[in-house]
Amino acid sequence: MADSAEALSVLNIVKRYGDHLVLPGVSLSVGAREIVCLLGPSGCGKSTLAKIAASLLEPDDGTVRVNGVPVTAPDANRFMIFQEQDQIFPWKTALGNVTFPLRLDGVPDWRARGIETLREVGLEAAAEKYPHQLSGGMRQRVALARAFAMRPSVLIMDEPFASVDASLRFDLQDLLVRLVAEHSQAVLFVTHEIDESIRLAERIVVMSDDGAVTGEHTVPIDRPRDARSPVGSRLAHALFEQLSEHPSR
Amino acid sequence: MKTTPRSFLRFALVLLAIVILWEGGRAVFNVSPLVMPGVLSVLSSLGTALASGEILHQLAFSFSLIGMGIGIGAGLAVLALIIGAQSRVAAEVMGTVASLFHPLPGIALLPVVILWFGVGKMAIVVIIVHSVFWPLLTNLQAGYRSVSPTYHLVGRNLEMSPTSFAVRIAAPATVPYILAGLRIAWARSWRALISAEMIFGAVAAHGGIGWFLHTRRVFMDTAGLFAGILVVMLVGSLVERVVFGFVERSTIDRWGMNG
Ligand SMILES: Nc1ncnc2c1ncn2[C@@H]1O[C@H](COP(=O)(O)OP(=O)(O)OP(=O)(O)O)[C@@H](O)[C@H]1O
Ligand SMILES: [Mg+2]
Repeated sequence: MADSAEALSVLNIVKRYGDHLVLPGVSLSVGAREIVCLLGPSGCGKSTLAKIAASLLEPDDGTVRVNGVPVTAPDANRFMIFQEQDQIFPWKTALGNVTFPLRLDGVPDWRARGIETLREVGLEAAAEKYPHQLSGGMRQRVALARAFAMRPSVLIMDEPFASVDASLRFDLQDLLVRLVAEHSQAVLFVTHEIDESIRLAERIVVMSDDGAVTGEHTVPIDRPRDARSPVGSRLAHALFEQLSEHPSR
Repeated sequence: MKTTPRSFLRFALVLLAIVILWEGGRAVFNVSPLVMPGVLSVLSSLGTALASGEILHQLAFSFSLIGMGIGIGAGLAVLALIIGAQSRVAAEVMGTVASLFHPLPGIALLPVVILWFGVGKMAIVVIIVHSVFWPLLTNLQAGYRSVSPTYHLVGRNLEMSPTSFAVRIAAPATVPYILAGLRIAWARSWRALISAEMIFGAVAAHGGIGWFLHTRRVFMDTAGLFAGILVVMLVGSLVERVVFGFVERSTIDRWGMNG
């Protein structure tokens, strides 16, 4: 199932917290130019798997590979957007936050790139504002811009659009699709929204309550997509059925 | 606190009330100027001390001692924090030691300090270092522990070295704690300094502001004594309101990190 030479792959990942087996041996892979959505109910282990895929959490067993090479240390070219709300720095402006990794990396045109990326997420007017002056959804877009500006080859996004409204979410989804095509990125996108996964993903990986992968679906819809198309509706229905099956523990 | 026209007016009114009560009390009870000098003579004494440069020299001297003490104390606190960050045992031991020394007023150490360091500038600096080190260390440790786990994840994701993380993320994230620690450090060292100077007398060619107070009492210059007290009050509140106020407005207030 997981092709180990893909841009990002996790193989047989096992993770326990004490006695609690969160991930019982999970495998998945993401190719370049591909968006893979990880869909599953709250608490099933999506964030845990995402952090392991970013090498920010050590699995008890299993390997993470980037372009087929096993990795254990995180790197800025495999960039994670966290579910946690406090990932941007309150002491830096929106622009300061976005350019922070660029400057660490020594990107020469960091300022121009920062402004350009803020414009893409619709925040050019807020460039000089501090996070406490922004709404929750605007802060989330700052985190998004910070990741996009780096143009990493692998993006790991943990429910990045959770607090933006529906129409803005559509725009940001389209932006993500466009950027992925432009920069040939591989994206592992965590969500628990069925429609979002259908709009975004090349493939949808479904996780069940017990942390196991219970299904994988390719999304056979041309872009730009309409999740409410007949094919989309059928897929949504199938995903809904799969998510509602509760495994016996 | 911000200096608004309203707070300025309130300040002026309080001052005026004090002056009226003071002068009223003097007139009603017919107090000797040796006990309670007139407001005008206090002001003129202050003017003389200012004009001759005496009090400014002594303030400068006091501030040089505080600056040295805070510099050394802050440097040591950062050093201790780094050592504590390397080893859990070291941090725990330091925490215990800090909980013992933190409540100890600097001036209580004076006899021991005189015994070890003699009577001089050095002794005062040691007392100030003591007044600065413990509250700063306690606050730095609390600040370091409060750095969000998410920031650590971001730092690791960006492949930041421990030093780069400390400077670029942990330090700004800790600014509210650093400022709280510095506020306590300043308040304690200012009090300790004046007490120590009054007890020691002049430790250099010209003493500090505490020495100024001491000499006025010796010469029965009551107006000068009150002028000195006025200076101590004004400088104390100036540093607290203006200096700390400015730093807080340009950092934690601006960043929305003031709780
Ligand atoms: N640091 C931790 N210590 C102990 N248990 C943890 C820890 N982190 C997560 N867990 C547990 O692991 C399980 C999976 O958590 P995780 O955050 O990966 O879920 P999730 O799928 O991302 O959920 P959500 O959709 O709500 O974000 C949960 O039962 C959670 O309680
Ligand atoms: Mg999660």
